[in-house]
Amino acid sequence: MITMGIQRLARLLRRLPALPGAKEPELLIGAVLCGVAVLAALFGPMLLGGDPAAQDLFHVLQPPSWSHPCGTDAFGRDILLRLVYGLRLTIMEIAVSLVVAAGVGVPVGLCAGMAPAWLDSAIMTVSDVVFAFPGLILALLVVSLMGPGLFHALLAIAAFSIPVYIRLARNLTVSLRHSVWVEALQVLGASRARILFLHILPNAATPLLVQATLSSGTVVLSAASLSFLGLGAQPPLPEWGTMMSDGRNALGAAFWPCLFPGLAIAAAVIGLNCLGDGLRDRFDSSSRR
Amino acid sequence: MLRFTAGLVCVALLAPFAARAADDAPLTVMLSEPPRTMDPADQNATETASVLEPFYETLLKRDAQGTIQPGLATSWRPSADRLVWTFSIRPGVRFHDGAPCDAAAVTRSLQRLIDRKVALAGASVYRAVIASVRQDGEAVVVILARPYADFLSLVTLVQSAIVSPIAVEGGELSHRADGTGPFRFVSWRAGENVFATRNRGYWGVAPAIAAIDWRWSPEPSVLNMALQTGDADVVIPLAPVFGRVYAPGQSAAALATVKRQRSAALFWLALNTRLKPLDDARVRRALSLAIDRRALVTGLLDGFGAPACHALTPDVPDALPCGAGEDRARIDMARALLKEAGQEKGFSVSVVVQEPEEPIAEALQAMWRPLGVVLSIRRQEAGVWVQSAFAPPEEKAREETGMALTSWSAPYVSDLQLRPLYTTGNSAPHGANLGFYNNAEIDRMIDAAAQDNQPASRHETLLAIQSTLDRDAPIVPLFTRDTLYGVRNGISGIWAATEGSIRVVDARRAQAQ
Repeated sequence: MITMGIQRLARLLRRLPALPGAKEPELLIGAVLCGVAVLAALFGPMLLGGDPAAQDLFHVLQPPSWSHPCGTDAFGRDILLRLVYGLRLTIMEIAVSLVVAAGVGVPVGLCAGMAPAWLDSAIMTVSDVVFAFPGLILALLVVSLMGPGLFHALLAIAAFSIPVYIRLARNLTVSLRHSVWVEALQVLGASRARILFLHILPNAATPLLVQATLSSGTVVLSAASLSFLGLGAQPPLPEWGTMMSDGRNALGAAFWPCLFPGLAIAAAVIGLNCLGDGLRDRFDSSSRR
Repeated sequence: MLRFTAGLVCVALLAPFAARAADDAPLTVMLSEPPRTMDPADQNATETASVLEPFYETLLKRDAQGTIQPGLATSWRPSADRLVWTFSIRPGVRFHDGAPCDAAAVTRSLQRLIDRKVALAGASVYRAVIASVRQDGEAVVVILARPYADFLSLVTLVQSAIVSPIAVEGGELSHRADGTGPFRFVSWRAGENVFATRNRGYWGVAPAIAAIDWRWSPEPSVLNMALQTGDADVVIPLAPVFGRVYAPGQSAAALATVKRQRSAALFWLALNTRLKPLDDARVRRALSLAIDRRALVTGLLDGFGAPACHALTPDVPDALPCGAGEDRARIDMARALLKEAGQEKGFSVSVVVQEPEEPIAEALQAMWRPLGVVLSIRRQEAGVWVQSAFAPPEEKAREETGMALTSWSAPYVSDLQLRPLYTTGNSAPHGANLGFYNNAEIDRMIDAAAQDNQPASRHETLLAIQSTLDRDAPIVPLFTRDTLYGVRNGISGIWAATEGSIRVVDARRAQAQ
């Protein structure tokens, strides 16, 4: 429903060409939401002050008020403060997952694109097998083998994102390797690695960047899901999924411990998806409406 | 007018049937966890006791006021030295399978209870106390290995319930209840429900309700929702946070009522006395001193409980109450003790905890932070938790399990609050001494208190035991939690026992009254 609302807003903005950024409303919405999030993560803790893990058991489940705009949780902790610190965690989650997934997937995909047919076929078959496995189930499997914890959860999320990058990087390489300039480089005696990483990779960077932005929303959702199940971030880390998990025990008596982390997750995912869509629209002429 | 009169007559004629229909609907009771077995002697879980109580009966029983009443025994008498107890068995009682529940059957049931080869999980105290059981005509004679002041309390516990010899011989008792109670077992669908119907051949007052449908969910909010939607007629335990939802004037108060029962359920933390640095009593005491028990009761229980500072719970007359300031955190004293133990920089330790108790661990995590103690919480599903908490010392050392958070409920009987948790012979994996506490003096004093029939000297011994345990701190008592349970309006006759189990056999719906 929120996504539909955002789409309606985007359509409305498109009809107002006088506004700055109205030609690319999704990019505008995404950039604003992500920009606000980054600013809040950078300066929020300084502005709000306090320790996100500090408990006050004599003031638990206080409803939203001026002193606690998002209320307090079941341990008397300020929910707004924890959301802001949770934002830092979320950014870290995105960074770690993307670095691991792209760090493994992109080189493998690039190599597959330039490799002999049999090796390309073997890499893509393995990649397709992993890709066909439901992502969250795969993550659950990895975490149950490695043990619960945020780092393990992020590795698990990265694991199911790797095939996406392999496939994308491989397809981009295949499409570029018969270009005139690549053939010219080969004639000039450039090594395969040089061609791949210094020439093909920069030309494939934009689609990969768009993919990374689009994947970020999935990372946020997956990390929150694993934490909600107790397999990701462990107490007292203010991870949004953990906060929702804590809050659900009071659902029916206090809505705010669940509501605000839920809204934060929704806003983050919408912002990242809008940003990804906007970037795709800007750089990919075939997807422009 | 004629139609109106005819209508009235119809209503009058159909009313009893309508009332019957209301009571024919099963009473749905929702618990926080499934039963672990249908064998009453092979378990120690409060929720399991709730499910088993309608199926089984004991020689004696406690009423809602805690007074001992006749059960399957109509009378009883001790010998002069209180070592031999003779119970006259109620005539004409039959098990659900039709077999007679006579002195022979009772004798066999009690003999099975103390049989070391069978080694039932809930029978360790019986094996320690009872030497032998024999039939004497229509009576059963129980011979104790040593005097035991609380013996009559032992035969009121569900673990001592009389089970059918046919079910025992068939090896079915773990999954099919077979006793003499007012309800008979119908089915147990794993992960779903246990269903019981009225025992038409019951010797006592027939239950008003026709059937009981036991269901469960570990989610506190699901229990609350089930009560509000009518999916459950009774839920237990209701999380303290929901107490305020049913306060007078709130909309939910029109649907259900929340009741409170003072409980002997002690929540405690077993410390692994064989793992460094918890092998040092000063470290264990420091951890205990850093806990703000009043904050735990206020914040986590919404006031529905009481701080626990010593080993015995308040329902035992010999229990030491919390002294002035004892229920608040004493960080400076804790720091001094840690410094004395060479742990002033703090340390890391892990606790295994079941999901419902995780908030307690999270609160402790924050309370110990000023000491530099980093508590890592390992939340586990019930079955996995049992394996971790009851693991032998070597396994706990390998997994670096420093603590186990759990609760224990054994009202009225000081020996049952002490022996299973503190004596050397009850060290895990065989008993609930989860931290492997080993103190010969404590073992001796617990034995002495159990055998002492003189209240004054027994009181002195129990005080000495509590002081010694305070000093050694093998366990950190946290609080006793009152039992909160919700009952849909219009249903009466439900009550909770002091140990926290729910009693539903006398339930009736308002329309039937």
